[in-house]
Amino acid sequence: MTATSTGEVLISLHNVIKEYETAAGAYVALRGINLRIDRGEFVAIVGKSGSGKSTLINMITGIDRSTSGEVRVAGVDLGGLSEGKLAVWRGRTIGIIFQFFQLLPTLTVAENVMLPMDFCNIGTARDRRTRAAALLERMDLSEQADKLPAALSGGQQQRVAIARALANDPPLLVADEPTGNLDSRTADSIFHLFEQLAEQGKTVVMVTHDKDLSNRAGRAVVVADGQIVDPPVHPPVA
Amino acid sequence: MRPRWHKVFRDLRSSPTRTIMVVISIAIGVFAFGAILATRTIIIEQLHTSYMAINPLSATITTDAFDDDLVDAVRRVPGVAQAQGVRAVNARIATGPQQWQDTTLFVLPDDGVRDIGVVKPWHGAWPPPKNAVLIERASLKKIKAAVGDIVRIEIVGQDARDIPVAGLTYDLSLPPAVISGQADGYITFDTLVWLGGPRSYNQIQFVVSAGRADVAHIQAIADEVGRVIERSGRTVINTDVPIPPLQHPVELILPTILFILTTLGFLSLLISGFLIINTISAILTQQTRQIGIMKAIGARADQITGLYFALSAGFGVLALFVAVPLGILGAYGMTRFMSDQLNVDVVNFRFPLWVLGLQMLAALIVPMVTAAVPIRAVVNRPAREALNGETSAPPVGKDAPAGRLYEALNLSRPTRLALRNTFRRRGRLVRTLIALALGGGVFITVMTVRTSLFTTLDESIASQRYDVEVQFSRSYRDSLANQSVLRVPGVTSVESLLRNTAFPVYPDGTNGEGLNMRAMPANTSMFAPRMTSGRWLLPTDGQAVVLTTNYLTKVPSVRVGDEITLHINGNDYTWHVVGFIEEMVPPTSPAWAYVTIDAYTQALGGVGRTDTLRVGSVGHDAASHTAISMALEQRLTADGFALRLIHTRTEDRDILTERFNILTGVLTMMSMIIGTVGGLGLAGTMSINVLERTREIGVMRAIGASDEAVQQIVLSEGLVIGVIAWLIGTIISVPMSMGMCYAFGKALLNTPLSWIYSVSGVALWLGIVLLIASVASILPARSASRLTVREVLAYE
Repeated sequence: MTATSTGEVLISLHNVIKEYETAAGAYVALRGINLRIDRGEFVAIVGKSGSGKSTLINMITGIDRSTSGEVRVAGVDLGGLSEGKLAVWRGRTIGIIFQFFQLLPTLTVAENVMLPMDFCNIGTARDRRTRAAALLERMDLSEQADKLPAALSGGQQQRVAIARALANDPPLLVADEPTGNLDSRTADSIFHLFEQLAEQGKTVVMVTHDKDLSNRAGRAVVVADGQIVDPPVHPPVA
Repeated sequence: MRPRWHKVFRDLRSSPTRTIMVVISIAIGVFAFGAILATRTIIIEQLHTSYMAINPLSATITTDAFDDDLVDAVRRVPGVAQAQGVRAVNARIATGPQQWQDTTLFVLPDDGVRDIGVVKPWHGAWPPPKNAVLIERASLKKIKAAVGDIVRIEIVGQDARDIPVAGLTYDLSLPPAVISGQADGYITFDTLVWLGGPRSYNQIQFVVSAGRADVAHIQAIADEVGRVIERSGRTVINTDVPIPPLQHPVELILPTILFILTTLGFLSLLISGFLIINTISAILTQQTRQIGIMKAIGARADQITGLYFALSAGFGVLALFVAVPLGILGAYGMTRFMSDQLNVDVVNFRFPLWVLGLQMLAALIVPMVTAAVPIRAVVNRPAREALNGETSAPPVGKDAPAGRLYEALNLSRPTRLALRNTFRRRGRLVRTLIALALGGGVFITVMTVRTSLFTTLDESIASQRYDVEVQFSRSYRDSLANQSVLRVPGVTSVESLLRNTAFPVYPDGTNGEGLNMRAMPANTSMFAPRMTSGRWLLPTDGQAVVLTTNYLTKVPSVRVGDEITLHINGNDYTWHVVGFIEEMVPPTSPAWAYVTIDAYTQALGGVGRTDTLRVGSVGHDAASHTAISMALEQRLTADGFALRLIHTRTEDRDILTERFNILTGVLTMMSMIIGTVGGLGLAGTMSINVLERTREIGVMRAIGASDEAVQQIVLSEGLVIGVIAWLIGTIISVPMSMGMCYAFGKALLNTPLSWIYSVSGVALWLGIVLLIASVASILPARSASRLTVREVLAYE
């Protein structure tokens, strides 16, 4: 359903190629990707396992670098940033949500949410606590704030991960199979959260296997064998 | 507090076993390092302070009998601050039926107060009561008596008398009894006269008023004092200026012991460093994905580096809580042991603050510095790889040569897996092997030095081929003495010698420390000298002399072929140095000079006379020695010979063994600490290896591996590492122990120890290594095998 595109380009990839050296030789994960995502869009990236969709997300988040081509996100050419600058930029610009939640096991729920603000030196300690509490309340997790992640269900952990992704109020949320490890009911509630965030003006890029969920996104980008398949209109998913 | 620091605290708490392993790894190094440095500092400080407090002498001049008038004259010599007359007499104290302890009796003023080389009351009566003796506290054990006991005492040439031990003294001016091998007692002149001695001094001791550390200045004043003595009509027999001045006798051997200890301290810290790298690397490996997440949410490399530096420092702080109290306790124990051995009072045991500071620095810096490399490696890994949990490049290709070897050896699949696991993390394996091999190398080295020390001691004893040495208080016709001795049942042979004290005369005309001179037949059957250079005496030799190697400590420039002048019985004689021999004599003891009896009597007279007999007997054990010694004393006394001393080879060996107690004590401590550090390294590495493979163990169990099969894999890996480390340790221990035996012997005995490789040390270390490897592998493997397959597969 939703997509409130403003027409302002937030993400643009031009002829992006990514090769990996493996024991078996060079492996091309992305073969000349061209993609544009506007600010406020809710985009689902779909494709079979090994198609290159996670690699594509890694290009957008700057977690990995392209072998050639240009990746620009929020007006910044990621290829021109050092690892250190990239980390700071990422912390302030992108909220990342992983399939397996990836919360730090030794920090409480609230501390996990405060951590990005801590690393990016956003606000005072009091501001961070207040914001973390607000985000957790929004995720209906206030009572879990002082618990360690291991004490929470999968759905709760993913909501903590979303709260953490929102901590620095980034314009872009990137989620890699955020519902892949959840039951359908919980997955639906998590997806609904993303819909709400997109409606509130966040740009959401989500990798998913779920055909129904991808259908609910504003746009679906299909990736197969390292390329975006044309026409990119809700293809069948694996 | 920022959340990131919460992470550091929780990481410290989240895995207690791992934290304990790291903390112990750091603590053991910091403890050993701190305890040793503190002991070193305290002992040196206390020894120096205590020694200075007794007002040590600047020089001693031995002359003919004199009284207080001469002392007063010396006090008036410009440059002399204090002077005192001293009388020391050779005596012996009965320690059992026909058993005697060689003793020096010092005469103290009636009020007990000596200005130079102050003797302090320690226990019981003070000053020495009339017709009673006080014993220096460190030599009480030697006379086998207690305060209040009556002992039989005999000064040379006089009848023995019963005398009470009225108390104990503390005399820091003397070498400790364990090193000198003799007892020291204190009496008044009245008591000396009662025992048959003279009421006169024979030595003058003085302290210079300025330049107490200046040998040349002291020597100049001593020369002036000598002239005053000579003007009084007396002969200067010997002038002794201690070199260097103001140094306690044991300070000569202390640096070697302390050097060994300090090396051990640094070695422990070094090994500790390897263990820390391994453990921190393991933690980073375990947390690679977390590092990836932190990078993904905006953490810079320097922030993550800071986190792990803080974690390393956190381990260091925790280690301090263990290492500091242990270090203080260790320093206290070691100081007590060494001060007991050296007869030094540790008045105020105060752990030096700078050592504490150094311990703190080491506990914080060593983990951070050692962790820097693994932290850098993981933090610099690209975010994608870190998020995937990739810690190193996956193995490429097949391990073909190893695979063929495993085929050829027909190894089982689990054993092959264990071997592959062993070599999987090569960096960690290398560090573990270095730590453990170094630990093993030092352990075997220490055991070898210990064995070699006692072998050298046995060889030294064995070179003396007599069973009993009898010293008369004057010379007798050797035919009469031999006749009397040969009448004792069990005596097989006897050889006549003459003994004297000879003072080397240096080119500047001054005299050196007295040498024990023995004149004996050139073709002696009672002595098998161990030559280090030159040759033994020949019957045709004229004034030829063979010296013990510790003479070189005192006069390093002398070589075979040189001529030396010896001042004997008031005259100077030139002797040709024909050789040096090894004897187990510490540098603090006088050197020995051997000459042929023919050359000696030709120069000094006394043809056909003897004052020392070396006696061979049927039995060579301790009981036979005691029996023959008693029989000899009875016979010679009955025949009218005045005895000075009878000692057996068993007694000589006991004295030497006791003398090396401090060394063997230090060596034992050394092997225990190093063994612990090395063992801990293996235990830590094995635990980490197994913990890291918890998931792998789960997979193996999921596909049907039994607990036994899993444990076999883990145990094989531990044993392989242990055996490799043992092998390397054994190999490196050969040159290490050779070097140490050489250095140790040269520093303490002026001669390298006879290197005897400790096979029992090698076997013991193998046993220790296999035990540690088994326990350290099996325990975590058992814990892992208790988890359900689901739990294990979820383990991170």
